[in-house]
Amino acid sequence: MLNARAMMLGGSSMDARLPAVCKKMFAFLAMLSLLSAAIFAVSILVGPISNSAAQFLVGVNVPAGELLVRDNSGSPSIVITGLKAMVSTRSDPELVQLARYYFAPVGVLYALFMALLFDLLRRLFRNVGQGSSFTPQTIRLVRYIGFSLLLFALVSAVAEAYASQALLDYLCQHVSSPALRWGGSRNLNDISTAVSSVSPAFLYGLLVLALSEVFRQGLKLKSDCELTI
Amino acid sequence: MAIKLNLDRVMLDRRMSLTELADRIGITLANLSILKTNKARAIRFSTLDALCRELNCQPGDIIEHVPGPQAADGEV
Repeated sequence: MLNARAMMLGGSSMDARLPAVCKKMFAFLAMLSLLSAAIFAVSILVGPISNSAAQFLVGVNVPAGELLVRDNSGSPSIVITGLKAMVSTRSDPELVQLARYYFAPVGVLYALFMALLFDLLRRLFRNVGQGSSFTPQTIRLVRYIGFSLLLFALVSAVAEAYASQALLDYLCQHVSSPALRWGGSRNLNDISTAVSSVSPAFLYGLLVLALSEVFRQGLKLKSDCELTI
Repeated sequence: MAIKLNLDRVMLDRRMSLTELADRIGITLANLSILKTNKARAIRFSTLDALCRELNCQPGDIIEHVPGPQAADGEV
């Protein structure tokens, strides 16, 4: 019983190794994200070589807003709220340009944010591994993570909206049918579109900021304990 | 904080050094220095008991209340 209690209080050897393992894992993921950002950036600057004979699939996912499909009479016969489809197309220079100037920058944004997040997490776990869990530096790191998530949620919502709009415009121009005409597009100024476009990262950011307050109170308790002689 | 420790005065009266007192009551020199310079936020009864025993004094000889402006919550 005494040994079990000692183990419970001191933690297993796995618990002791966890911060070091997490630190290495996040360092590796941060490098991988930076590499991805570099690849996306190169694709924007250099541009992929399009092969007119190549055929590839484009995944379409319009997560919010309405897509009205009208028949020849003009009245909407089908209202699609959200669209997810796989469109087979031959290599189209315009589609390649779309990917290069709209989707690749979103990829750079994502990859850079993930690199920043993984680096902050690496530093956080380094501090925890050294026993400095409740220090001003750790609290600062947790706050940076929270604010980064909030900022990323807002910026990525706008970026994704523009990229999705560009794709929708492309589809409206290039996808047609004798019986149907694409109609309607998402209004970027619509408040409901903006609200529904905000990713869960916004809520996670708020949660992490609340956690930083817990760390701050932990620091106060630790300080009180250290200064109790 | 309005609570002041007069440890240095009592130590001078008893002709005792910081190092000797720290060894006798079983706390580190750093912690005794924190007490002496009034940086401590709290003192355990066991520590107060050891101080009074080794310095042969009463708690009131070491601890003094000096009325002054109240510090904000969380401040010393």
